[in-house]
Amino acid sequence: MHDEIAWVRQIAQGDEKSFEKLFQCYAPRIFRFAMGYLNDRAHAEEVVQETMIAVWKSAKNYKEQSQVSSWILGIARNKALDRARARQREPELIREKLDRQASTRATPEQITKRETQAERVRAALEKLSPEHREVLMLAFYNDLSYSEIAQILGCPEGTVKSRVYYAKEQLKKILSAGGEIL
Amino acid sequence: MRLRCPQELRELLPWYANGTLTAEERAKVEAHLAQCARCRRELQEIQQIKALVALSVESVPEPSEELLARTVERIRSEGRHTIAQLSWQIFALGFSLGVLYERGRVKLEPEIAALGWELKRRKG
Repeated sequence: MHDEIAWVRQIAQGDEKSFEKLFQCYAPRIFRFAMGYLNDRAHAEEVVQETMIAVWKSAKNYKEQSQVSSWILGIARNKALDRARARQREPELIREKLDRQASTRATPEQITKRETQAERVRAALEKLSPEHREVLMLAFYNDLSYSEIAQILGCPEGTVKSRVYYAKEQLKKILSAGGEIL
Repeated sequence: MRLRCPQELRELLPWYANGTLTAEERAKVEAHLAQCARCRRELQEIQQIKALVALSVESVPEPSEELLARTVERIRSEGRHTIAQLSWQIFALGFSLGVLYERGRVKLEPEIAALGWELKRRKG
């Protein structure tokens, strides 16, 4: 078990070695976390970079009452949401992405069953409210505990549990209607 | 049947599926699952949904290897930028104080005045 709090204390003193250790430990996790919001490799890498720079700059403000993971993923969440909002204001970029997707759809024989299913699930997730979608990604894609999610979202644990429960019911209904699950 | 499935246990099933429950919570859920077919079915559904949600995200397991080097370089260059900015601000402050001192508008402590003149001398 790494002593992450000790690393953060060292980073607050400007220790690059501890920063590298924390980076190696968290970069894959932040990347995966950001992919849940953005589903875009380049944007997710930017979120990793911005998050870790923020960690470097604000290590001295870290409150040790919260888990290091919740603190870092809380920063990553804000960076990812900012980026997602900025992307929505860039219609030409979104159009490019849709064009790319359309071009891959142009040759049906290349489309695997897995990709088609993934597309259907993405469409189903899009139909959920942002709160429900977010909490499902945090629980089912990032595999975070309910207490970590509560700290990241800044809401009570009971709210997280019931939100996941209702979000899952909602998604099940949508996926069942589309024939994805029984 | 519903009485045997307390909401608090059913609400733990997603976290049983993602493996983040405490040992005590996991034991409670497992004891309940052993006797409740309804919750076992629900757990199966949750596992299926979990797999589908994970599938919905483009599968890229790791960020690129050079990301750490890029990030450290960005931190260093921002640091250099900050030091350069700070040096300029100190110089400007020192210079302004020096000018005011020369004009006799302010009485400065000798050390501060010396700092101003030193910065002015170094700048040229």
